[in-house]
Amino acid sequence: MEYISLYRRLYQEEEAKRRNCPYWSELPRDLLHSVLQRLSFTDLRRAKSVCSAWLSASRQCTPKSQVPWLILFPAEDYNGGCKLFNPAEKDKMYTSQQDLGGVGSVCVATHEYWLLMRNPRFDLYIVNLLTGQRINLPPPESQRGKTNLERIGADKFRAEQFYVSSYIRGDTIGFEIKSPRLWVDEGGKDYFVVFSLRPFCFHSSFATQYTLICKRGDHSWTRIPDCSPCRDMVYSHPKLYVYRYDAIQIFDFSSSSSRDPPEPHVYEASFSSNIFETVPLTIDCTEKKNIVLSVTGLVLMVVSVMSRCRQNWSFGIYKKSSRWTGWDKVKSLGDEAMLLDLGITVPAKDIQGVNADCIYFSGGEDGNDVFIFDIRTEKIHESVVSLSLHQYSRSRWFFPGFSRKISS
Amino acid sequence: MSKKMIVLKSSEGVSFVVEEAVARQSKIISFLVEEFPDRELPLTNMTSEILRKTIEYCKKHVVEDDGGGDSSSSSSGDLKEWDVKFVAEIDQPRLMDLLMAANYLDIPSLLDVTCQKVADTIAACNDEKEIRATFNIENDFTEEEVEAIRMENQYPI
Repeated sequence: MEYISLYRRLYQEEEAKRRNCPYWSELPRDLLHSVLQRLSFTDLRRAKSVCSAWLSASRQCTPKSQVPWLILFPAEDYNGGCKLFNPAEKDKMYTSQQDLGGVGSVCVATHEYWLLMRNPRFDLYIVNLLTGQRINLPPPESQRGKTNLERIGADKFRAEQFYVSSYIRGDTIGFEIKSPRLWVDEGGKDYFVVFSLRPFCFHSSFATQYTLICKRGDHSWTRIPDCSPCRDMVYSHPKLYVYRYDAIQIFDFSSSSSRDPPEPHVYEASFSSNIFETVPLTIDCTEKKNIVLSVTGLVLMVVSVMSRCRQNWSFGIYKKSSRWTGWDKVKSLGDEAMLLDLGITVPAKDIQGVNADCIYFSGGEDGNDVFIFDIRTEKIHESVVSLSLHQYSRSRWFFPGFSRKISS
Repeated sequence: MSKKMIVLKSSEGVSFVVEEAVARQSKIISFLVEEFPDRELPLTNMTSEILRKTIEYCKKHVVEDDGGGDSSSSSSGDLKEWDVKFVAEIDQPRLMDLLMAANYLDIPSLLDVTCQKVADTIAACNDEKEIRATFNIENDFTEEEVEAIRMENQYPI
């Protein structure tokens, strides 16, 4: 057996010499590594099946640039796992082996390979999809200072709010987690979580929500001062951008060593949320406004309108005018693609498989659909729509291998 | 002022006379020039063909100091385009030699474009069989190993 393989090898060497071909499997390991390091996830997987030298070199590689994947949670028989799907490989669905927290746990935000999860008790935690590393966050009722939320059952809370001259209370089963954002550094040593908590209370004056943050080392959530309800947020380490009805506030956490949130820098003087021209709204339309940070650090406002009857979407993208007085419509994202679920844009030209000038988003009528909207043609890409994802819920785009660096 | 020239010698003993600034893009040559000035530098593991290619690349990428700061001989866009053409013209066996040369001489930008070219070639293949055929690699896995990799590939991570 050995003799045969030796013979075959000698023959191959001769053959290679004759054809003047070098032995690529004998490329020094560090050089092979720097080649494989450049491959996308799919190509790297292919390359490791080539030969043992390539397989062992691929072990040290993390695929760098990568297409956005879909993370899917089976709607039924949910056992706590999730499925991963790369739109570039239509016929394959991957199953994650990591325990994401059991039945009823849902993913509310992602950052690279990290997922922000919420379990049926409405406790939040962070899980690494690669390693299974789990970071438990303080329970939602542990808020610093004035307690606004008291746990009165497994998933039942009593919310309290100071209104006019007295406290009013309301009971809520769970609460809405609005605009959750997650940031985790590479090794999982540092993290930042933010969301707006809105109780489901039936008191007429209890239409409140408030924003909570939790950083590494915190044993409770810290509330950041509200003036008006937050509509959307984006976190780009170490800055938090909060879009309120009347302004965008920027909180810089780089120098905030104390537990108190830093004083916000108000980015923009008051503007009316109606300032954005949108397509004519009909009764069946739902309108959403989101804040997105571009690759270059530009703050963008995105108005999305879905018409339920016509089943179509339209988008308006705006950037702050240089005149400081308004917002200018952006006609094209150029080389960038927008990942609306993550509140970022990415340089599409550097990433294989990402379409430039497109918006990747999830939502739809039941919130379970994923879309790619082409800004140039103003149409939804059929490729993703045609996927049968009905058996899954809470599908969302995520960008496992992309580490975002803002130049500003 | 005339430009200082140095002599590089290939494995076949062919001498190449190169401007020092051009050759200095190689960190190794830069070092050797300082250690052994006015000497011919033998590059025994590089064929004349590969050495000629490497010099061609360095000539294009040399940054001339004209006193008023650094100014590249070409605009970066043009250079990129030129690089793409440069590696596209190199055939498979030569590509590996050039990649090794870039590594040996320590020319980071050349190493970058050659590695990228190899990565692009891998990416253009449909499956591992095609990669093996393209790069003349023998499949040295046992049946069990093939199965293990297949199982592993069921999971993305």
